[in-house]
Amino acid sequence: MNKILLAAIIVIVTVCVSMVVLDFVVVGLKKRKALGEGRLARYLSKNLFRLNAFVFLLLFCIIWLVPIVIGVIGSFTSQYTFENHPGQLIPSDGFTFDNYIALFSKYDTDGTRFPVERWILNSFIVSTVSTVLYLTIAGFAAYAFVFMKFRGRNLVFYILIFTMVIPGIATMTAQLANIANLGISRSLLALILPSLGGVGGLYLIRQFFLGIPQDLIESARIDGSSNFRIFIKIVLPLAKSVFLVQGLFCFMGAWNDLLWPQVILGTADKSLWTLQVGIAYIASSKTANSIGINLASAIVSAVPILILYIFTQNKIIEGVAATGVKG
Amino acid sequence: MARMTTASEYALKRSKRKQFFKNYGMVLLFLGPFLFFFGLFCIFPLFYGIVMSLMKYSISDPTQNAWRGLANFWKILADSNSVYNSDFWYSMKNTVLFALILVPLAVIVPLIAAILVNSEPRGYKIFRALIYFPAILPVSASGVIFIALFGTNFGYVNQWIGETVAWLDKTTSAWFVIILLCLWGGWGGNFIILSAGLKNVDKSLYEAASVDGCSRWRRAFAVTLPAIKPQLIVCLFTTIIGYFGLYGQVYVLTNGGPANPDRIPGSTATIMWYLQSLMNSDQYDVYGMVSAMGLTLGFIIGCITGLQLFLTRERKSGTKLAKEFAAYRKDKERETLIGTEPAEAGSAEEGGGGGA
Repeated sequence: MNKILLAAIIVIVTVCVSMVVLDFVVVGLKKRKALGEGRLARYLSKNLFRLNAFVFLLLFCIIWLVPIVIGVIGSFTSQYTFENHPGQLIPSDGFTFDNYIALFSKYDTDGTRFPVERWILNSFIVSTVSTVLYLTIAGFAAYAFVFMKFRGRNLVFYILIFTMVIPGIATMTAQLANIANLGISRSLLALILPSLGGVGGLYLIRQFFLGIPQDLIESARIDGSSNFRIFIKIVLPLAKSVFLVQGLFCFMGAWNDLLWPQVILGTADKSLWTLQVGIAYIASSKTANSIGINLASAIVSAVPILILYIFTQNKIIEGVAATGVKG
Repeated sequence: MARMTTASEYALKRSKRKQFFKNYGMVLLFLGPFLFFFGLFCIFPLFYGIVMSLMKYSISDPTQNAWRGLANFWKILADSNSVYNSDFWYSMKNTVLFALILVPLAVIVPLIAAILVNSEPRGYKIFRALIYFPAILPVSASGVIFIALFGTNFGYVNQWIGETVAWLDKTTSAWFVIILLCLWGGWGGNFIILSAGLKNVDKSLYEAASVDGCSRWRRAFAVTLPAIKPQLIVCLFTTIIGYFGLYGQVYVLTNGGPANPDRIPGSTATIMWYLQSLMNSDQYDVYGMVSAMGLTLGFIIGCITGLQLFLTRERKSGTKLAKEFAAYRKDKERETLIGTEPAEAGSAEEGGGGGA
C-alpha cells in the first residue's frame, strides 16, 4: 500500500512543480514580449491565473474527497479484508453488503440489539416536525413583524435580536431543568420544542419579507382579504425560496445535531435516541473489529443529507452566502 | 363627574374597542405562538439559569436544593482548591489553545480557495459544491470516517505510511486529527461567505488600481482585503465562537481522552465536552455549578459577539447621508417618470447577498 501513497505524492508534486515552471516561463516570455501569437500563447497570456486555479482546485478536490471515498469503500469492505489485508482499497474478496446487514442486527455489550431503524425514524420525525412547525410559526411571526402595525413592534423585535447574542451554552443547563420540569425530558418533544423559539430563522424570513412591496399587501387588504388569505395567497408564493432555504437549514441542523440530543437523551432508553447519538455511541466503543459497521452507519446517516444536497446545493450555497449563516 | 354618554358616542367607543381587539387579536394570533416558544425556551431558561447558578441544584432530588449565593461563581473563578475550578480552566485552556491554532487556518485556507474559485476556472461551480460538501455531513459520520482513517491497527493511514502510530491515543497526534477533522468539515461555510464577498467586489476598483500601476500583491492588500472586510470579520468571529462550542469532533474521535491521571477531563477535553460530561454523569446535584459555568462561558462568548457587532456596525454618518440622497433621487425620478413602473422593490434587501 506504500506504493499508492508514494505514487499519489509523486503525481501531485510533479503537477504542482510543472505548473509553477509553466507560470515562470509564461511570465518571463511576457516580460520580454517574446510570447508568440499562436492560439495557445494567447490563451496562456490571458488565462494563466484561471488555469492555475483549475489545476490546484482539481488536485485539492481529489485530496478533499479522499475521506468520503474511503468511507463509502470501507462500508462495503468485508471484515475479513479489514483483519487480513487492512488498508486495501479494492478488497480482494469483493465488495459486500454484510456491514449494512450487520448494522441492523448489531448487539450491544448488554445483549440488547441496537434499534437502528428506530433511530432513523426518530431522526426523521424530529427533523421533519421541527422544520414544518418552525417554518409555520416563524413565518406567521415574520408576517406580523413586517406587514402588521402594532405598538411596540420594533421594541419586541429588538429584544428578539438582542437575545441572539446570548449563546445556547449559557442556558443549556437551565433548559435541561426546564424540560425536566415540563415532564417531556424522556420524549422526542424535548428535541422538537426548544428549536421552535429560535430567532435566527425568523430574522432571515423577516429580512426577505421586507423586500416584498407593502403596496401589494395594502391593495389586497383594501380588496377585503384577511391577513390569513394575504399570507397564504400572496406572501407565501413570493417567499417560497426563503422558506426553502430556511427549511433546509432547519432540517440539516436538526438531523446533524449531536450535542443537545446527547445531553438530553444520552442517559435515556436507547429506543429514544436519534441516529447521530446512536452512531456516536457505536463508534465510541472503537473496537477494531467493527470498522466496516461503523462506516456503514456513517453512510446511512449521511445519505439523506447527501440527497438533499445534490438536489438543492445551489439554494443551500446561495443561502449560506446571503446570510452568513453557517450550514 | 358623571356625564351622559350619547348612544352614538357609545357606539363609536364600542366599535373602536372592537377594532382594537380585532387588530391586536390578529397580531396576537400571528405572533403569539412564536413568542410563547421564545419565552418558554429562550427567555425563561436564561433567568432560570441565573437562579440555578446561585443555588446548589439537584434535578433528581429537589429537597437538596439550597441557596448558595455567589459561592458557585467564586469556586469557578477564584477557588484554586476546588476541583471544579481546576477542571474548568484546564478544559478552557485546551479550548482556547485549540482555537488559537485553528482559527487562522480556518480563515486563511478558505480565503485562498475562495480566491481560486473566484477566478471562475472551468467547472468552478462543481469545485464550489465539492469544497462545501463535507460541511453538511453530520459530525458523527465524518468522525467515524476519520476513526477508520486514523485507527491504530487497521486504519488506512497507518497502512499507507507503513507504521503503527497510535494517532488517537497520544495527546499531540489526537489534537492533530481533531484539527484535521475540524478543517475538513468546518471551513465550508467560511469558504462560501468569503467567495460571495469576493464576487461582490466592485470590478472598477481593480481597473482603477491597475491604471494607477498597482502590483498584484498591492492590489490584493489595498483593494480586495478592505472590500471583503465585513465578510472576514463575520468569518473570524463565527469561527471563534464555533470553536468555543467545539464538542462533536472531540466526543466522537477521542471522547476527551487520552485520560489524565489526576483529573476528570482528558487531555483533549474541551469546555463543552466537560460541561456535557458533568451533565451526563451520575452526580445529579452539580447542576447549579454547571449552570454557573455555562453562564461564565456564555458571558465570555457574549463579549466576543458584542465586539463583533461593534466592529461591523454601520458607520452612521456617511451611509446615512448617502441613503438619504439615494431616496431623494428616487423620489425625483418617480416624479418625472409618473405612469411607468414603480421603483424596484427588492432594493430594500441587504446588498451583500448573492441574490436569488
